[in-house]
Formats: sequence, C-alpha cells, structure tokens
Amino acid sequence: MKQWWQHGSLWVWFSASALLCTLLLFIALISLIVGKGLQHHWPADLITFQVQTAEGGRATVMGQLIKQEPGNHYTTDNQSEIDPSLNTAQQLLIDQGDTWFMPSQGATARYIWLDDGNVLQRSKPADAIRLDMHDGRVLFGVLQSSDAEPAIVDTQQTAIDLPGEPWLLLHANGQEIQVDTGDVKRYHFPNSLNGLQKSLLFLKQWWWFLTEDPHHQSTAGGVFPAIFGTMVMVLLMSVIVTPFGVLAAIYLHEYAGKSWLTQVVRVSVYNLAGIPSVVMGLFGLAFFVYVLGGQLDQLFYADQLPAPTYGTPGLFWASLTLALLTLPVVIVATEEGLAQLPMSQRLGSYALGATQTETIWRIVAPQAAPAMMTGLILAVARAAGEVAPLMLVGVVKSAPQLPIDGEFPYVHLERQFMHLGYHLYDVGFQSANTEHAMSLSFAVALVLLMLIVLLNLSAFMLRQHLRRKYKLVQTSMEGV
Amino acid sequence: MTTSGTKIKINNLSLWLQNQAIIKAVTMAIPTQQVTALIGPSGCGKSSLLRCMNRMNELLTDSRIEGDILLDDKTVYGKKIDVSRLRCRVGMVFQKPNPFPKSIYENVAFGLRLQGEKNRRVLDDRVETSLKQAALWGEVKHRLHDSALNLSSGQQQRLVIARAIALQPEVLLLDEPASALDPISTLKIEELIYELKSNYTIVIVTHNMQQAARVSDYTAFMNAGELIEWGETHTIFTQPLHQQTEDYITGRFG
Repeated sequence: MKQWWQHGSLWVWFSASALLCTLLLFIALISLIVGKGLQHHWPADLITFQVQTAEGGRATVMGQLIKQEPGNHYTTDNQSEIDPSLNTAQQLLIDQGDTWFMPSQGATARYIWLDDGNVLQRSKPADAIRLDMHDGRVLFGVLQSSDAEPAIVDTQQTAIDLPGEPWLLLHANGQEIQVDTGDVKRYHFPNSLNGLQKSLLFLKQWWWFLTEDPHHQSTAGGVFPAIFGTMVMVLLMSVIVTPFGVLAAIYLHEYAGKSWLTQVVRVSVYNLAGIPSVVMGLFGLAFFVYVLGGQLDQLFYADQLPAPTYGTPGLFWASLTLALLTLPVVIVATEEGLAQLPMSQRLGSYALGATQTETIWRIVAPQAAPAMMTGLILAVARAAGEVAPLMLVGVVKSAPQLPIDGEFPYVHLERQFMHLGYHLYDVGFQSANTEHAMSLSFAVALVLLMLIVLLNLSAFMLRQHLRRKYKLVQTSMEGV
Repeated sequence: MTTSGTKIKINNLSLWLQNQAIIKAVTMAIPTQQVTALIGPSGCGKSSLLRCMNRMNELLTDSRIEGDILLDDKTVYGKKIDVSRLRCRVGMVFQKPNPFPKSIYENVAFGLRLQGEKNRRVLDDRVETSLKQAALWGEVKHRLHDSALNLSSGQQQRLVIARAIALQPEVLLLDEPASALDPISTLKIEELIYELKSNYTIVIVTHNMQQAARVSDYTAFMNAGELIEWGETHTIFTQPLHQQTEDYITGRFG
C-alpha cells in the first residue's frame, strides 16, 4: 500500500479523472447547445392529439411536440399541491401556435402541458399547415378553403404573392380563422415532407435566421443585425488593440530595460486583466462616452447639440472599451513571444551593424508575430463573449440601423448596435414566452459560438501562416 | 610568414561584467591578414576579449571597460564612434549558427539592406561573391530563396560567415565557430579560414588545440582573465615561455 502510494499512481488517477470530468462537461456543453440550437429550426411534425378533458369531454389539440418528461405535476385544482397519482404519467409539452388573437375560448397559451394518460389518439394529418405571418404570429391548422393547393405543391415557398381569396384556416380548437394571403410570410405542410425536403427546409430556415432582421421583441425573425454588430465590433476592437498591445509589449520588453519600475509596470498590466469587465464598462461610459465623446461633439458636431453624436453609447466606444479590456492579454502574449526569441538572433543582427530599432523591426518583431496572433486570438475570444460592459457603452436590444450601410459616410461608428451575447440575454430572459425563448436562446447561443469559432479560426490560420513564414529558431545562447 | 602590420592593438584592457573582473590588463596586437587564435580554459575571458573588439559586450549586461582597443590606430571606444559602422568593419560569427528565419539570399543580403542597398544587381553580385568566398555557393546556388533554416548546421555556419563577409569587413571575429559542428563540417570551416585570411584579419576563439595549431599564425593563451603569453603559433606550441601554457597545451590542465 505504502509502495503504491509512493509510486504515485494515485496521482495519475486523480489527474486523469480531473481531465475526464473537464472533457465530459465540455462535451455536455457543446452537445446541449448544438442539439438544442439545431432543434429550433427543425420542421417538426404537427400532431393532432385527441384528449380527454377533466370534465369527461373531448378536446383536440394540434401542435408540435416539444418535449416529453415524467411528471411531477400538480393537481389541476390546486397548483401548489402535487398529485402523487399523476407522478408516474408522462407529460407532453405541446406548442400549439399563437392563439392570443382568437376570441377567447379554451387555452390561450401557446405552450401547453398534456397528460399522456389523457391522450386518446394521436394522428398526423397530411394537410396540416404551418403559417408564419409577417406580424410574427405562427399558426397551425388545416386549410378549409384557399386558392392555393393544399397539396404538397411548393411547400417551401418563401414569400407568397398570392392574390385572391383569403384562406380559411381551421384551428384544432374548432375556430376558423380568416387569413389574408398578403399577411402570410411563409408556409409549409410539415407532415407531408419527406426527410430530404425537411432537411432542405431546415437549412433554409437557418439561412433566414442568419440573414433576417428580428421582429416582435426579437421573438421572431433572424439575428442578422446582431451577427453583424458583433463582427464589426470585434474587428474594430482587434484593429485598435493589436497595435497598442504590440507596441506596449515591445517597449516593455525591448526598450525599457530591467529595473524595479518596469517590473511594477509589468505586474500592473498583468493585473489589469483581472479587472471585472463591468467595471471597464463603467469606465468606458464615464470616460470614453461622456468625456471623450462629449468633447468630440463640442469640437466637431456642435451644430447638432444638444443632441449628442459621439457623446452617447455607440459602436466605437464599445470597441474601445473592449480593446482596453483585452489589452493586457495581447501585451502578455506578445511579451512571452519576445522573451522566447533566442538572444543569438538579436546578437546576429547587431553583429551585422544593425541598430536596436533595426533589430527589433527586422528580426525580433517578425519572429514574435505568431505570439502576437496568439494574443489576438485570446483577445477576440474574450471580446466576442463579453456582454456586461457592452450594455453600458453601446449595445441595444434593437438597433434600427446597421453601423455600416449605404448612407454617407457609410461607416457610422457612433451608432448603437446589436450584439449576439446581449441578444441571447434579451431573448432568453426578457421575453414572456419561456419555452419559445429557451429554444430560441439555444439557437442564438449556437450562432454566437459559431461566430467565435469562425473568428478564432481565421486568426488561427493567420498564425499558422506566420509560423511557417518565420519558423522559430530554437537555438540557445550557450557560451555567451 | 610575414607581418604586414598591426590591425588591432589592445592596450592594457580590463573588462568588468556586472562588477566582476573578466579581463585584467591585457595588452596584445592582432596582425593584419593573419589568423590569431585565442586559447585558454573555459571562463578565462577569451570570448569576452573577442567581443570587446566589436563592442558586443555592452549589449549583454552592464559592462565597464578600462584601457583601449585601437582599430587601425583609432580607438573603438570613443564617444563619437558609430558602433554600427564599427560592427560592419569588424564582423562576427558565433559559436552556434544563427541564421535568420529568412531565405538564404536574404540572410546574406541582410547587412547590405540595412545599409540601404536596393540595387538588385549589386545585391545579387555581393550575395554570389560572399557565398563563393564562404565555399557555399555550389551547394545553394539553385535554392537561394529557400529558407536558411533548412540547411545543415555546417552549411548554416558557412552561411553565417558569408553573411558577415558580405559587408566586406576588415576583421572577422570567430567565436568557437566549429565547436557545434561535426568533424567534416569543422574541416570545411578550417579550410575556409585558411582561404579567408588572404583578405581578412581573423581572430578565432577555440577550445581545440589542434585547431589552433592548424589554422592560426599567432596564438594568445589566456587564463583567469590574464594574457599569459602570445606570439607566433609555432613558438607557442613548441617553446612556450610559461609552464602554464605548456601544461594547457599538452592537456595537463584546463
């Protein structure tokens, strides 16, 4: 036993299981987000449930089955009392589409729970249709009368320009809804689609999600402005933070010498990374927006005062705040790269008559470029996921205009913008419709993750390219 | 063996690195277009003495110097001396090959580009002559734009020598140029030194007695920062004045 202890295999097991736990959590995280995120746009079947009601009558519910879980559910009479007899029954969560606009009758919630035990019959009517309306409503039902063929013709039509008679839609609760064809944005018959058609529709729905503007309090439509805003902000931040960080690191490592003062500066810079981001946001608001922005307005936009141009939260200040937040990361990574460069490279350059500046710009900096890219990768990863400071310095729930458009001067850095991280927070926690918001949140989270992966990947490729170009010389400086 | 004059004169030179005496009052002369070898046990200050000649010591740690070094009878330690110009005149090659992660061509052209030379033909010419002088042209002429890091270490060391002589220096300082190389590469470097001395004054630091005996015309033996004796290699190796020298050369200490 003692020998076994001393041999240290316990520690191998300990460390291995720590790694295993990390991996498992990581896999769980990724699969949850990917799974739930993809599910949001899958054209699920519309199922008709014949249900026995508490009063002994029958009711019909049609909708998409969201999830199914064992019940730990409350008695119908008293919402706080758990009915033990129901505990074993499966509970079904059904999305029956929007019903709020109908004359009140029966359930008005979009999402309802059903007891599996009460379900008498399930069926998938082939003519069940899903209508996505321009005003954000989603309707499920069966078409009673229409000019359009209720068959499978053109089931994935995007924008319908159908003149003629309004359609009559029969909802599962028995109500007939008159639908003006001009109000219909898209429709399809989910139950009559085969696998390939469903996949195509799935891809299309993702495409719409990525390229369209959000509407109805962000509960419907796409996330394009948020993607665009995030991208522009991260790119702008990179453009600001890279030169600043690299120059600061070069000064600190190459010029400043080794005194207690540089050590103090270095430690302070490293600790800057530990400042909570929301504090940075507050600083950005107080200094960048009000002080700098206010000054800019007085100098250049005096004619528009008191309406602020730059003296209000906006894209430029958000990028600047994030640049400040990620500056330490770039400085630390660059300095590490500079420190890794063997002294022999510097001496070789000096021995050929190069000055310090020539040595730094021709020999040192190019070889430290991959390290600078590492810093940038870390900075981008941090910046793209940051939400808290942005809420103070420029991100809004819904921005009417993109920061870059066709209107002179084309780039509007003073505009407020949308951001995926904030959008996720917004749709997830600010919306009334929990079930829908949950599923939408995962879709937004997936987009955010993909965007970060994309940004990182491009920085990563750039770094690989630089590495190949300036293959690091691993010679040490023995004998000097 | 003719002495056509003195290229570098070292006058009572002492060096402190981080307040530690490294070289103690050394006085000697480096003859023009001859090979002078500096030998001595590790830590005796021979490499530091070499680096005093192109003022490389001041790059490494805080250094203090007393005495003087004269290159062509002019001090190299004056306040108005352009150190870059000095290092162009006194080239240096280090123990381990340190090519830059650039192409072979750009390595050799590096010093010229620093001087602002942009004329393609001048650069091409100088790269070719330098590589030829460094006995590397034949091996690399078809891949001048390949990375220098793909060369073997023996080739890299000759490339570094070519890089130094591309600036047409007057003096070449070689700091144990062959100690990291295999015997065949070492032989090539030694042959190269023999070729180069018709054009350059060469100072070589070496741990290898046979090498010093083979390649040098003059030898200086140092121990613990002091110059014990210096003179023609033949004399030093056959009739050393000091017992220490004889002990070191014959391998009884060091």
